[in-house]
Amino acid sequence: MRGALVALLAASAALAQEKAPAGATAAAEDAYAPPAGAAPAQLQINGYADIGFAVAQGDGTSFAPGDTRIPADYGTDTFATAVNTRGDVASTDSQGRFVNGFLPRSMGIGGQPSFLFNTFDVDLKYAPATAPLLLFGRVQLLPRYGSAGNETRVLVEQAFARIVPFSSLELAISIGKFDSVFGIEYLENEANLRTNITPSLIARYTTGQSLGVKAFYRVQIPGLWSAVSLNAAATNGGTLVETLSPPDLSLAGRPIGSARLGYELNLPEVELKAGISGMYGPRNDQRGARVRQRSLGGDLRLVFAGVSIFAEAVAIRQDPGAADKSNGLGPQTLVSAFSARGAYGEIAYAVPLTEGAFRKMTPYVRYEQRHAQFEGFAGYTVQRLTVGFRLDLWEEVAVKAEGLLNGRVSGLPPVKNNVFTSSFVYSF
Amino acid sequence: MHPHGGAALLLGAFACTQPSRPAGELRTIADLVDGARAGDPDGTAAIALRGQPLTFLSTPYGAGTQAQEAGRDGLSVQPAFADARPAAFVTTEIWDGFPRVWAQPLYILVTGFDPQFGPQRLLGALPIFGMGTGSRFYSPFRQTVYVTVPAGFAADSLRSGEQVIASGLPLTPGPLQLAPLGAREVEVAHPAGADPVHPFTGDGLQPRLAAQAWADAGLTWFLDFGADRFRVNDANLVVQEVALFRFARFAADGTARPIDVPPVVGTGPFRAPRAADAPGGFPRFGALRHEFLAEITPGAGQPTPGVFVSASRPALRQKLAGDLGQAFVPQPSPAAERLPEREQYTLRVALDGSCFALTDFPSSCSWLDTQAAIEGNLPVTAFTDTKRFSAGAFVFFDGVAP
Repeated sequence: MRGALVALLAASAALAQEKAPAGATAAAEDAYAPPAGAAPAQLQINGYADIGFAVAQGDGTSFAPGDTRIPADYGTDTFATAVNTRGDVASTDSQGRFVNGFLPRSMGIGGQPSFLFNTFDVDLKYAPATAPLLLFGRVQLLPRYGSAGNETRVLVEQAFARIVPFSSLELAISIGKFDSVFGIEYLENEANLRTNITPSLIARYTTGQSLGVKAFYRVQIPGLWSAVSLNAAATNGGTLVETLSPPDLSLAGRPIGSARLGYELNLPEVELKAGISGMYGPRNDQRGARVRQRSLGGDLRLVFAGVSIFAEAVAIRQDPGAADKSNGLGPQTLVSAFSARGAYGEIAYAVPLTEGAFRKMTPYVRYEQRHAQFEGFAGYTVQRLTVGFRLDLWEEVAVKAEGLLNGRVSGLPPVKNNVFTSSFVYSF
Repeated sequence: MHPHGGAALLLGAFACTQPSRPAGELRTIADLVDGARAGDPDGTAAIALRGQPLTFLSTPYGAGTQAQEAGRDGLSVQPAFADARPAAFVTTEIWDGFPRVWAQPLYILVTGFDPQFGPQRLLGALPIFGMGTGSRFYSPFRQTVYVTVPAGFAADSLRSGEQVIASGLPLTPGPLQLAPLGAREVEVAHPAGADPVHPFTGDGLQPRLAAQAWADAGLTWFLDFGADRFRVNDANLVVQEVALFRFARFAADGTARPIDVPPVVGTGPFRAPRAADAPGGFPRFGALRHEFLAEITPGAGQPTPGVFVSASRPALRQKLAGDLGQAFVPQPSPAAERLPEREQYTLRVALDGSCFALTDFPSSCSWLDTQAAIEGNLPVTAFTDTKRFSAGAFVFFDGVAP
């Protein structure tokens, strides 16, 4: 599966790298022409299943007992008790206290240990033989059980057409619903690709899929073993996750712009990638075009000798609006001003094992902090240490386990919300 | 006086509704004071600025001009009717476009609980508001939470809700309390050297001086209107609202415009009136009001509603006749003028004003002075939801000044 997805991601680049047919005119060199020996059109079906087991401390939420301030989700980090790669938490049950939609999705297990069916994913990829196109769709089944009984959802997480208009340029234009372009964590949105299990505390601002158009352009600098790239998008929902900013409709009536400018150094034994990202536009959890949001981030990846180091930081600020808040969780109440900043650093070491079943063991550790403040509320800072491992079995199976040690740095009451979670992922 | 103050006072006396306010706006006492200084009708209706005339104690509502005390701003005592009884309230907050209002915590430090006298407050400790006016989720409606502290606990060591929760000290729910945060120099409006009074009945009211408290780790001031002045839904702390009806007439552009008569405070949400909940004369309703316009322009062939004003108030009769037309201000019968309690009917609206001339006044009238009477006698098309909540205690209800 990993190979298939890598091939998928590389498809447009491969097309872009192809040379124009010999004898073409200068004017035609910028236009795409199918290679003479083009492969026949292919439809590929891939996917994965993510099955987990998790348990969280307390009641599975981060709401402090005895705290009756309202909204309940303004004075704590409701995303802290994540149990899977989607960022779903053990619980968001506020025991009746009013919440205003600053919440992740919930697996609803509370403080009880439970097996979980996190995701069943099916990817469809079609590459016509006669056009520089890649057509892709990703449908996910999310089996859930909540207070209303069966709450299973079917999600079209991605569906886009990617065109490479010029064979001489590494330029790809995508239209549809696709991954974020902000930072680097979106590259690990799927459980089968991700080294660890749970997303970072800042992933909610950078990893959301959205609907719109985006363009990727890269210039290789062979003499310096380097490349510079620009990935830019105009979308409905921006880069926030769908519970915070609905991607499927532009409530504000204006697109949100986002982009990442990246540099990569590809030496034989060392790979270094760095980038800066930004996002600007109206908040898409309300209908006022002048109620803006902006974010800025930086990222770094360093890979050498089996060691992977990832680091990313982001700061986001959202304007206050009216009383027309609406997001992926439904109608809310007030569009409150909000600001946050955070960063994580992660180090992983891939230990090759055998050529048989046990292919690779990757222990990892991640440390992160996040500071946030809602309008009228005191700011708070939380931290988290994540320790775990990933064991790759053959090419198709991964077993992962990790512990999340959530803590407070300032501004929050104490609450027991550590998590143990695990994941069994098989790909096809 | 402010250059536009006089006109604004009269225009805004009862009719403080401005439907054009943006949704999601909350105005607190401080905002209303600022609004009054800027001539904003809502601010002018809610606040009597220091040294400025008290609308309902001055011409044309009263004789001469009585001014608010020079050293403090006043919460205007707004005459109203509730459950067919004379009432009066103050306005301390206005929410536009909010779907509901919640109670927020108010922490009181105590050393323990006495079986006879209840919670023993820590000497020198100020109340701690769990949410200040910096948030649009601020609320004057408070769920008291007693924080039991050990002996020798420093009275000023906890200054915010976050600190209280983080302290891990035992928390015990207490009564509901109406306690708006505001400026130090604000109290219930009254003339210099006199206690506040109901403008029409003359009954004395409580002044409600500001007291000090902590909010968001800073010192602030609040007005304590006492415990048990409202009710909440226990499951989610949503404050229970009642409908408030401001009488209105159609303007030339076809929109309903409020008129200068006292509003009627309902006893339950719109279309859901309840029995008045006022044990011992202390109303537990009416502190959170969802405002509606109730349009009373008579249709063809229908009787003209009447606003009762005694002949002893000629200036007020003249003003209303000018504003509404003579037909809306019928002359009361001599029998009505002889009634000792006639002032309790001042500016009360009857469905058919011709009843004022009948000998069995006031029984002759179908008064629009209860929620049930208004909702039952006016057509469904008469009501306009202003999408506005206002908060503030009854300072007078049925002869009691709670």
